Amino acid sequence: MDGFLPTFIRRTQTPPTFGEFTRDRPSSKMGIPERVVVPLQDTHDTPCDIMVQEGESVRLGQKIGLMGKPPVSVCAHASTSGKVDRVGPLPHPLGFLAQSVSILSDGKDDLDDLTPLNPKKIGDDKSRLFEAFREMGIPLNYELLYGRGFKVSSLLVNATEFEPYITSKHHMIKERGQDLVGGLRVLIGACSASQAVIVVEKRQSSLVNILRSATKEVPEITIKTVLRPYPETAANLLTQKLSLAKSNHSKSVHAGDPMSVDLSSLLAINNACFLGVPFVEQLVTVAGSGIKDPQNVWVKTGVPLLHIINHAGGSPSRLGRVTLGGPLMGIPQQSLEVPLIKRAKGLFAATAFLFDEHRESRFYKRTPCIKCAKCVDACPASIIPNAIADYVDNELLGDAEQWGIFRCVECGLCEYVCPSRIPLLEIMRLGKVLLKGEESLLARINLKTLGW
Amino acid sequence: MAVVLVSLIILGGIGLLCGIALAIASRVFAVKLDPRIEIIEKALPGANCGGCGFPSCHAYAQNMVEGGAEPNRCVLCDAEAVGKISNVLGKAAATIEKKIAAIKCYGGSTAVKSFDYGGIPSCRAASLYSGGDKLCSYSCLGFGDCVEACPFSALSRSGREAPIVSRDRCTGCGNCVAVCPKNVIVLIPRKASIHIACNSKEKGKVVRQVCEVGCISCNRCIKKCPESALSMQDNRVCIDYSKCTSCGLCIEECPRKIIKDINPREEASRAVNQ
Repeated sequence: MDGFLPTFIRRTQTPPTFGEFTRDRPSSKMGIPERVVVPLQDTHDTPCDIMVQEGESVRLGQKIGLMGKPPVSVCAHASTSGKVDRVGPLPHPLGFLAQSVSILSDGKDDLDDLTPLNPKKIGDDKSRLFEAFREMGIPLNYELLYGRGFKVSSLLVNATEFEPYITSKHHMIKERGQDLVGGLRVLIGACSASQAVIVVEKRQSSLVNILRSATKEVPEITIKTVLRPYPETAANLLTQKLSLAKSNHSKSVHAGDPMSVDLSSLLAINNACFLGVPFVEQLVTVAGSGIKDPQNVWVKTGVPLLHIINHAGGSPSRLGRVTLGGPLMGIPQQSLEVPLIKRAKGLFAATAFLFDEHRESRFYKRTPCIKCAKCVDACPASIIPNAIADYVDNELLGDAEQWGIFRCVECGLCEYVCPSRIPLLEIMRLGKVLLKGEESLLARINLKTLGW
Repeated sequence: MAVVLVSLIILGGIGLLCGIALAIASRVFAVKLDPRIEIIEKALPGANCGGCGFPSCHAYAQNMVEGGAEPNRCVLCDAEAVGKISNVLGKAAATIEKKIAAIKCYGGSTAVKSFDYGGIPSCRAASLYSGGDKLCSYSCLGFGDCVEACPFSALSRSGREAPIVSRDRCTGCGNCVAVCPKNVIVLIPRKASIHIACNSKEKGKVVRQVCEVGCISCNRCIKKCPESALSMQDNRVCIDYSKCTSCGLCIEECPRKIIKDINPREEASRAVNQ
C-alpha cells in the first residue's frame, strides 16, 4: 500500500485519510473519451442480453443491453455516441471476461431522445416505477425491493468516507447536495419509507450544514453523525450503531432492516426523474502517488481506466499498483484497459510496490502472529481476525465459520494494523471462498467491496 | 502393619468393585460391531486418504458392510486385498483400473505473467485475483496447493514450476485434483504412457502470445494417430486411453513437445508381459 509503507514499525490504529489531496480541489469533467466499454455482466455467470450488433451506430443514452435475470435485470446504456466496434467477452475490472459492448466514440455525444420519467404520472403502481428505474440503469437492491413488495420501512445512506485518499462522496454532496436529496425524496415516495438516514462523519461538519439546509422541508430525512467512517459493506453494523432496527449478526435478512442506498444511485434517480438521463456518468476520485494531479472527476461509465489516469496526469509506465476503489478495500487491476464500472468510488494508482528477487514484498514479509490483538481492537465487526486466520490457514473451516468469518466486512483494517504483516484480509477472502466452495464467489466478494 | 493392611484392603476392594462394574458394563452396553468390519479394515491400507470417497478407511469398511459400497473403490488396494475383501463380503468385484495424477501444464516459468502477485503463496488465494498472475487462464499457478494436499507426498515442486508427480508414490486418490483451482490435474490410467500436457482452450494464436510451450491446436498429432485415439475438443487435444496403444507417434509429431511420455517404456512393457 503506497503511502502506507512503514517508516517506523509502529503505526496508528486508524489509517490516515489523505483527503487533503483532493478534498478542497474543484472537481473536473472529463472530455468525450475515444472509446467506452460497457460490460453487461457482474459475474461470469450472470445472464445478459445484448441489444446492439457490431457496426451499428448508437447515441448517448441508448439502451444497449440488459444485465441480470428478468425480474431484477438492469438496463445498460451507451455512455457516448458512436459506432459499436466490438461485442463479446472483454476484460472486466473484477478479473474475468465479461460480455461487453465496446463503442468507438464519434466525438459528438449525440443525445438519444430522452423523456424524464415522472413519478407522479406513473401513479401508484410501484412495480412500474421500479421498472422505469431499471430501464434507466439505476443500481438498487432490486432483489430486496421485489422480495418485500416495494415496501421498505427505512433507507440508509452511508456518506462516510472509509477509504483513505477517496473523497468522491464529499464532493458529490458538496456539489450536488440538492439533487441527492431530490433523488432520495423520490425514492422515499417510491418505497413508502417512513424514514431515511444519511450518515456523515462528525468531522465533515460542512456537509452536515449543506444537507441540513437541503432537507429542511423533508421531515423523513434525518442526518446522523458518527465518529469513525464505515465501509459500504458494513451496512448492518451501521444499522446497529444507529439503532435503526434490531439487527443481529445472522445472515438472514429481517423485514425491518433498512435498505442501504448508494449516493451515486440517488443522483441517478434525480437525473432520471428530472432530466431523463440514464446512469451514464459518475464521480470518481483519482489519487495516489502515481497521480500528478489528484482530483475528483466526472467520468462516463465505461471509460477505460487508462484514460482516467492520463486525465489526472499519471504516467502508466511508472505505476506499480492500480486499484479500483481505495487502497484498503479496492480491487487490484492487472490491466488498465478495463472499463470503469458503476458505483466505483475511486481509482487509486501508486508508483511502487516493492518486491525483492523472490517476488515477495520486502516491506510486507509475513512473520508469525504475536497475539498482540491489534486486529481485534481495530475490527469494526467485533470478530477475532487472528484466530480465524489461524483456522483458515490450517483448513479448519468449520471453526472459522463458528468464529464468525461471515461477519467480516472485508474492510482491511486488521491487515493494516498488523505488526506481523499477516495478510489477514486475503486469508478471510480465501476462507470465505473455501467455505462456499464456488468460484463465482470471487466476483461477488469484489462486488461487495464496491458496496454493490 | 495395620495401616498397610487396611489400605491394601480398601484399595483392593475398590479395584475389585470397579473391575466387576466394568465387566458388567461391557456385557450390558456392548456395541455389536460386525466382525467383518474389523477384518476388512485390516485388509485396507489405513492411509485415510479419502480416495474412495469416504473420510477414513474405517468409514469405508463400515459402509461396505452396512451400506453396500463396492469393495473395489480403494485406490491403494491391490488385487489380492480386493479379493480378500470381496471374500469377506461374499460378492465379487472387479479390480478398478489404477490411476495416477498427471499435470496438464508445464508452462511454469515460461508462461507469460500479467502482473506481479504479492499475496499469500497459495494457488487458491492467487486465483481470486483475476484468476492468478499468469496470462494464460488455464495455466498451473505453481504455488503448490496440491503438494500440500497430497497425503502420500507424491508431488514435488521447485519454485513456480509445475509440480512433478512421483510414479512410485502417487496412488491416484484425487486429493490434488480437488484442491486445484485451475483444474490442471487429471487422473489418467496408470498403464497409459501418453499424456497431453496442455490445458488451454484458447486458439493457437492466443496461446502463442501467452505461452512458449502451449498447444497451438495444429491437429498434427490427430492426423498422425493410427488408432484415432486423439481428438480435438474446444481447441484442446483429448485422448481416449481405451484406443491408445502407446505407439509414441504423436510424441514425435508434436511441434511444441507438449505430448509427453510419462510412463517409462520398461514399466509399460512389463505391464504388457504380465
